[in-house]
Amino acid sequence: MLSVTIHEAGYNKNNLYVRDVQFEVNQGEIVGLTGSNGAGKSTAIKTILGVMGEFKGEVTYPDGYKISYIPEEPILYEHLTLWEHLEFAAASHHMPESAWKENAYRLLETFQLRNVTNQLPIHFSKGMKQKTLIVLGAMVKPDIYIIDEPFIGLDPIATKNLISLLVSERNDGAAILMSTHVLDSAEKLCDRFILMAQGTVITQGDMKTITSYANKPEGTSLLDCFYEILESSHD
Amino acid sequence: MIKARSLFLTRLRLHYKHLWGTIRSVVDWIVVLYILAPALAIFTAYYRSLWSDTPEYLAQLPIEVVLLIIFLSSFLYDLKSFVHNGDQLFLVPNKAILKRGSILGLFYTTFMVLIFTSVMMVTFLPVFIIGHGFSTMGIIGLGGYVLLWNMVFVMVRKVLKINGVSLVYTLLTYSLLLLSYLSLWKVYLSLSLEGMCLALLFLAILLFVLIYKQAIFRGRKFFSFVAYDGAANHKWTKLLLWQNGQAKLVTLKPSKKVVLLKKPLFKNRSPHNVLSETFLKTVIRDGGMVLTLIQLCVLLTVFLVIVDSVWLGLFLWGFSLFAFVSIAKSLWMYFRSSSYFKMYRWREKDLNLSSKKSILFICVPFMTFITIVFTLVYLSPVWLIVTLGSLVAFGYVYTYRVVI
Repeated sequence: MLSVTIHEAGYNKNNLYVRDVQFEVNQGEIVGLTGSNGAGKSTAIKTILGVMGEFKGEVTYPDGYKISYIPEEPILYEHLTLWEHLEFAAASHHMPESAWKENAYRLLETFQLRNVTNQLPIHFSKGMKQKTLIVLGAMVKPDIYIIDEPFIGLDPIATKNLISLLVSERNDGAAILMSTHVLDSAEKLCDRFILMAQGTVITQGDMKTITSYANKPEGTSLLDCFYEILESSHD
Repeated sequence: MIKARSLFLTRLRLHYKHLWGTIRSVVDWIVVLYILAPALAIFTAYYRSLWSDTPEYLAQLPIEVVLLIIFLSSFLYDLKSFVHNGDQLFLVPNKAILKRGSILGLFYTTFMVLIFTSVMMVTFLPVFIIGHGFSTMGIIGLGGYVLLWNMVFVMVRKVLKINGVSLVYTLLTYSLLLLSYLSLWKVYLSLSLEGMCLALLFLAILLFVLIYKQAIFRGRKFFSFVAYDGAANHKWTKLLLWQNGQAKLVTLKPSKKVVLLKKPLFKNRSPHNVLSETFLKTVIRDGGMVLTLIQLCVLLTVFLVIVDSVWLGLFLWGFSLFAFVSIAKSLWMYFRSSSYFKMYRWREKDLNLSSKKSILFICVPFMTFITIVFTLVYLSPVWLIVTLGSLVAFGYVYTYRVVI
């Protein structure tokens, strides 16, 4: 569904940090994009979204498919209420009210935001802002999710609700690319993993492939595999 | 060990670098070549000609209005300390640096207000000297008076801002502004008892604000207030240096954020209408932007009235239209440049329709006001009806034929 080929990408010609990245995200699967800090995960995501200054490669997905991006940093308008943000997101996708309102109410209820819809999200706590962005991303029922560090700042209930939401969306056929450092959640949730270091993909595949690449016995946790692979790549 | 002066100069350099980048992003060489440079050349030539070939209208310009323009234009400057949020954490062990940096910021602000006041005084010099026969000492005294009140206001505004923006404080600020202008006018021009009473009333309110809020002139707390970063209005806990010199986490009173225009502006919830509504609400709810637009409108209207010539008035009307359309366009571009906006992919058609509609909604109220004043002052009531009728017709055609 989402096919990504990045020959090189960066903020400008002198800073082309991400190179030789190639992967696909298929319908009905969750792909975890992991790697240490500065590995190039966020740059790769921004490249997919088409906001990087320099990019050579190709990002393709079927015509008319809806993409939702849930950023790591809370990005919101200072002077718009939560409900106005929802309307803005729906209008950008040309969705009539009947197509998004019910879903929005359900998500607001799930993430305990129903009673603050007329307030300005800029005054919310970090966790509430993150939940706002999740609701904004999910309410339009996208075909492709691109999520950057979704668990940061969320309380345990919201984390559980998010996991349920992503599983449900996957079962409904959505393709989900999720960048994360929370490896225990990722291990339970993701079907495949892409491991990045120094701006490029080191390895990718399901848990079995990752374990084998790390030369670890079956049943080893993703965190241990991750550590082993990065340590050996430094050597 | 970092020194306050080098830290301040680094911040100052960064500030101007950023300012230059901002100017370059909105003003290209075409604007400079075809608008700014000719306008500057024409103004310089005209200014020089005023001294050799004095026009009659210089003596007819109401001095009260000229004083108001000078007073308002230099009133707009804000206190800049260049102390960043992070400094309040990292410079806590180095209180001397924070204090010295704040003092440098105070000097810098005084210098900038002095520059602004001087530019305005020089611009209106022909009016003072040729038109109204002011002496050199009189002009210096007037400049000093305006500068002094501006510095007082810079501090008062800062204190009020720290205490949270509310209707009471806003009204208080503008009452003080009005009183100080009236006392300037009365005391400076006629030295009447009425003027002295106004000045005393001004001082009484000022003292009330300062004493009630225990705001300034109290040791280190004064410098903490100077160092307060207005951009961090949303963070209600601030690490401030307290009077005993120790760091203390202070909870500032949060302002009650009133959300204006909660109801939808358009019944038809088409995508471009939602986009226009989002833009208009962000502009209207940003009080500072609306205030700036109102101030510009008042300033242009005052100019329109005092030029006392239908052709110059017509030229100013055209200039006002150009100014408001340009500002509305800049606001629209700023709105589009936000990170949140970039998260969504809007269709080109929606963007075009919405930009036209948004610019129209920003410009029409101000241009209608300016047009009414223009027709009332220079033309006749019949013209007023014709002009307003044309505006309504234009608005109807533009809205329903072009936008919808």
